[in-house]
Amino acid sequence: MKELNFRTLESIKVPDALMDRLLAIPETEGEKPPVPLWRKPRFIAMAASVVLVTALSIALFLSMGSKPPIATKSDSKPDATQIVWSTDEYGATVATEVVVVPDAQNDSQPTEHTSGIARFFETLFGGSDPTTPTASDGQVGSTPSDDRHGKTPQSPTVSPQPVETDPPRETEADPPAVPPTEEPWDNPSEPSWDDPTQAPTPPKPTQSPYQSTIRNTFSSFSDRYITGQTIYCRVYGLDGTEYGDGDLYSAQHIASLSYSGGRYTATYRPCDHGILPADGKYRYEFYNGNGVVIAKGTATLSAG
Amino acid sequence: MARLYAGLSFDEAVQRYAKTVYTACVVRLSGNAEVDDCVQNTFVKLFRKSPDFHDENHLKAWLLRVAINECRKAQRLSRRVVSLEVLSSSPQPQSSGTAAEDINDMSWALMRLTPKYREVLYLYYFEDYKVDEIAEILGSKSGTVKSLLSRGRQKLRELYGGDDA
Repeated sequence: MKELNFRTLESIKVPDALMDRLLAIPETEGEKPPVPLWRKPRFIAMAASVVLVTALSIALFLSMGSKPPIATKSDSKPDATQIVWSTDEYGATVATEVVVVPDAQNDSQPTEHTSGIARFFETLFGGSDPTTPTASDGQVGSTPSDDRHGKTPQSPTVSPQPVETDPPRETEADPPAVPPTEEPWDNPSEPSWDDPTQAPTPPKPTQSPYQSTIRNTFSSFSDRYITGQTIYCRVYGLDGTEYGDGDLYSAQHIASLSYSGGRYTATYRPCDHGILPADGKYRYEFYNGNGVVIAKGTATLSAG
Repeated sequence: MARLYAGLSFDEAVQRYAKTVYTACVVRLSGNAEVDDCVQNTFVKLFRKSPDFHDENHLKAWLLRVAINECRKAQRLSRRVVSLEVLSSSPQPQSSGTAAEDINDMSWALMRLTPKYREVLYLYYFEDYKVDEIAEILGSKSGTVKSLLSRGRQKLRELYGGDDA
């Protein structure tokens, strides 16, 4: 097989035109201008990638808008509700619900947090910011209890406050020496706890929902135990635990006494005497300087 | 400074191996119109890449490998079937020689084989490459080259009427 020849193939000649083109390759290749950068596929791919990433970033940014990726809790802060339970000496339970509505004009700052400027205005103008509608309407400003809890007065057009219509709270704004004039239970014929001959009356609140105040109004029957006496009050836990100074006649247990409409009302605020038990239900006793217990009952105290 | 290819300048390399490359392309492409383009592309690659060659055999083998690859690519891109006109214009047995020479001239028979047989038989019988060298040029295995040679011979025998040349 190797002896066979390819004579015809041996006779093949390269065309002269092709030879000329082959010999001219160095000249044509050398004269060939360089390919511009923007025509190179790699450059085009890089530019396309940059454009794509930029477009996607812009689209993502526009789709998100000004919304933060995570919602803040300040927008969804619910109204603060506080239910204060109190029991009078007859065992009847009275519940008072106090709703604190966040400031609608300033969502980022709830009304529970009073700024230093607001507190300054409260102190200077009787507890109310003069720029608020409440002050211009001449309504009562913040009470001492409001100062303690750091609450700002609410605009009545935005969120009417049930606290402002609470009679015991209005009483607390007055000095202790001035007896309340509009007590809802201010009825001379109302029997007292120590008058077993009369039927029980509707329960009356013995505690302000904000102030954890123990209050008791006495009938004329108890006047002989009260007149000219210093009234004391002691607080016990339901398990008998005593709070405050062990001395029954310590200044820590002195209750304030007021007289109105021929009746005495004793008021005792444990927090004012440094007695700050945990929130809960407690027993109390009012007694005079001779140790005679003139009133007792249970009350729900709340420090905050 | 002019580049050298196995000690040859580009013009010398072209003048010395243009016929080899051209013939390989003619055999592979059956002499169609793309032969010239494949030959030109082969030497353009030689000029652009200018690899380092050990000797002229290395240069020749490199040129043949590139030329065959160019032919394959041209066939793949064009997807054209060799027409009968092209076949008729392919090298034919010359009648000027003796009868024995005409009988032994395998050129016309080679052109009637499929390309894969043609290139193996051409490299083996015309360029006198060994099986391993052909495998290296074609980028295939030695066993494949041997198989193609065996089948190509069988087809040549059939074209020649069954006589074992």
